[in-house]
Amino acid sequence: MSVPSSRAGAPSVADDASAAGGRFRRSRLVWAAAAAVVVVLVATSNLYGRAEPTGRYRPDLPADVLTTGCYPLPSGVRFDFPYQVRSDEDLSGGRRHLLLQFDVIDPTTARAEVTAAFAEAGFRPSPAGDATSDLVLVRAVSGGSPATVGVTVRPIPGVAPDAVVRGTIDLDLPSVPLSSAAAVCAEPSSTKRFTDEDGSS
Amino acid sequence: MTALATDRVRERGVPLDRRDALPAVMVALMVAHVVLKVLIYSRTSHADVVGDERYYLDAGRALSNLVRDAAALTSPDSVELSRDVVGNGWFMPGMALVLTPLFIVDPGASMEVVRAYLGVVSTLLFFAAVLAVRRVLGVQYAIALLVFPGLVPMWAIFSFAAWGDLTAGTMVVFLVVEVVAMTRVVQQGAAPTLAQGARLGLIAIAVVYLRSSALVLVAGVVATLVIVTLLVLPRSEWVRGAKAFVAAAAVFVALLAPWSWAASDVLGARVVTTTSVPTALANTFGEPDRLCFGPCDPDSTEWFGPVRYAREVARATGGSEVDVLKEMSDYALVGVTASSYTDDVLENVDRYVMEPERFQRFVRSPGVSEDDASERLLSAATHWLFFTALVAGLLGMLRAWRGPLDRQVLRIVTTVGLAALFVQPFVHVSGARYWTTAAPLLALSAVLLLPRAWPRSAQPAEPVVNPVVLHGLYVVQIALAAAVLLLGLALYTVAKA
Repeated sequence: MSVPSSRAGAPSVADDASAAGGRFRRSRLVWAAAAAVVVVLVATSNLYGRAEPTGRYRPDLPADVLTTGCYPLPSGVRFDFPYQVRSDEDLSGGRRHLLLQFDVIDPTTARAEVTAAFAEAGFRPSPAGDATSDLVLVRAVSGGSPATVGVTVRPIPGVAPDAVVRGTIDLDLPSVPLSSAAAVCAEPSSTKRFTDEDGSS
Repeated sequence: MTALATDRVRERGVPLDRRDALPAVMVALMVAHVVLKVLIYSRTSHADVVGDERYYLDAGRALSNLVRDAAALTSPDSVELSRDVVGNGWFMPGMALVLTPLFIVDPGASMEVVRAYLGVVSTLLFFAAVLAVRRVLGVQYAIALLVFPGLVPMWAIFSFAAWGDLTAGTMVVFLVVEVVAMTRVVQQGAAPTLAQGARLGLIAIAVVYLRSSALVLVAGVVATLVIVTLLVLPRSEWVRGAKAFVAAAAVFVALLAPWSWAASDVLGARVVTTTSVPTALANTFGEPDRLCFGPCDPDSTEWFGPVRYAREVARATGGSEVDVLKEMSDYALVGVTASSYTDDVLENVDRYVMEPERFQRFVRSPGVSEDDASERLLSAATHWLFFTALVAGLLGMLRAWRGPLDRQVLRIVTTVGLAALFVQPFVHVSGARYWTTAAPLLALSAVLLLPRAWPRSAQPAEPVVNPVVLHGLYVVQIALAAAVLLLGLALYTVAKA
C-alpha cells in the first residue's frame, strides 16, 4: 500500500491553511459578485416597467352594509355605537332578520343605544310586546299599517367583561328591497346576505 | 506508512478505494438531481399559482417596485407595500426577497418564468448546501442529502414553487454546518470569530424569514451552541466568545427589525414574526363556530374569514385587528379538552407525515393527468424515499455518540432541530409541505446511523475539552434519544387507542 494522498488521509496543517486561504479568497469573490449583481439590478430596475401585484391576499375591507344604502335600516335610524353586521336575511311575511354584534359597551348600554336610535327616528315602545323579542318598537306610517321592530340584546356567553366583542343584537325589521345599484350590493362579504352556495365554497 | 494508512482508513470506517469513489458518486448524484429537475420542470412549468404562493409572488412584485422607487429616489408606494408585503402579517417575506430580482428584471414574469427561476435558484442553493456539508461534515453526508431529498420527485416539484418551507430546510443545513464549524473552533480552545458569529446570525434570520415557525429550531440549535461554548471555552476566551454571539444576535435583530417594524406599524399592534399563531391555534384545536364570537362568514376560508371579521371589529372600535384575533382565538379555544387536543394533534401528525406526495396534484401543469403512469411513478418514488428516510432518520435519532465535541454537537443539534420542527403538529394545522423543512435534517440524522460515519475533522492531538463535558453531552444524547423513543411510543399508543 502506498502513502495515501491527502484527500484520503487526514488533512495536514499546510493543506488546511492553503484550503482555508482559498476559501477565504473564494468567499470574497462570491461577496463581490453578489454586490455587483445587486448594484446592476438596482441601477437597471426602472428599465423594464413596474410590477403589478394582484392584491388578492389582502382584499379591501368590504363596506359596512348599513352605510352603503343597499339594504338600509328604517329611515332615520342610525346606530352610533361600535357594531358589526353578522348576517342579514329576509324571512317570510315581509320580515327581515338582521344580526349585529356590539363591541366595547355592555349589554345595558347597547340596549339603550339601540332604543335611542329608533326613538330618534320616531319609534315608540309598543305596549303589545312580542314573544320572541325583548322590546317591540312601533312607528306610525301614513296611509298604512305601522312599522314594528323587535329588538333582542344578549351578552355573548363566556366573554370577559373587558372583551372587545361583548354581545349580539337581533333585529326583527320590516323587509326592504335592494335600494341601491352600487356594485358592493352584490358582494355577500359586505351585505352579509349569504346563500347556501356561499357556505359550500 | 502502511500501518499509518491502515489506521487512517479504519478511522474513517470506509476502505480507501471506496472513499476515492465517493466524490464520483456525489457528482453523479448531482447530475441525477439536475436531470430530475429538468424532467419535473416539463410537467410543472405551467402550473398555476397555488394558495399562499399568491402572497409570495405579490410581495416579490411589490418589493421589486420598492427597489425601483429607491433607485429613482421617489417615495415608495406605501399602500402597495402594506397590502402586498405586510398583508395580513401571516408570512415573513423571505421568498418574496428571493423573487424580487426576477421581478426587477421581468416585472410581468409568467408562471413558467417564475417556476424556472425558482427551480434554478433552489438548485444552486441546494448544491451550495451540499458542498458546504461535504467540506465540513464529509462526503457521506453530502451523498445522503443528494439522495434524500435530492432524488425525491416531490422535493423537486416543490423546488419550482414559491412556498418557503423547502428553502428554509436548505438554509437549516447551512445553520448546522456553521454550528459544527464553530464547535470545532471552540474544541481547539479558541473563541468563535466575529465573522463566524455574524454569519451564524445571518443564516439564522434567513431561516426565520423563509419560514417563521422555524424560529423554534433556530433558537434550539443556537442555544445548544452557546451552552456548549460556555461549558468548553477557557475563561480567558469568554469575552471573545460572547462578542461572537453578540454579533450573531445583532445581525439577527437588525435584519428582523425592518419586518417587525413594518408589520407592527401597518397592523397597529406589536408583531415580531407573524400574526397567524392565534388563528392557527383556533383553527387547529378550537371550535370553529366560536371563532368570530359565533360562526365566521360562510363565504370565506378558515383563514381569510377570521381576518375579515377582525378587520371589521377593528374598524368599528378603532383598535387593532391583531388584538381582536387574539381575543377571538382565546374564545374559540375555551372548550379544548385533553382528548380533543390529542385527537387534533394526531390528525396533524397524520397530515404532516403520511402523504408527502399530496401537493403533486396541485403543482402540476394543466393537462397532465393524475392517472398518467409517470405521475404514479413520481408519487410512488416520493412515497418510498420519504418513508425510508423517515424511518432511518428517526432511528438515527436513537443513537448516541461518544467522542469528540463536534460529533456530539452534530448529534444533538440534529435531534433538537428535528424535535423543534415537530412542535408544529402540536400547535398548528399541519400540511403535506412542512416535511420539506425537515427533510435535510432527516438525511443527516440517517447518516448518523451508519457505523462510524462520524464527520471528518482534524482532531487536536491532546483533548482540550474537559472529559466531564463530553460525558455530560453523551448523557444529553441518551436523554434526547429516550425522549424521542417515549414520544414515539406515546403517539403510537394514543393513535392505537
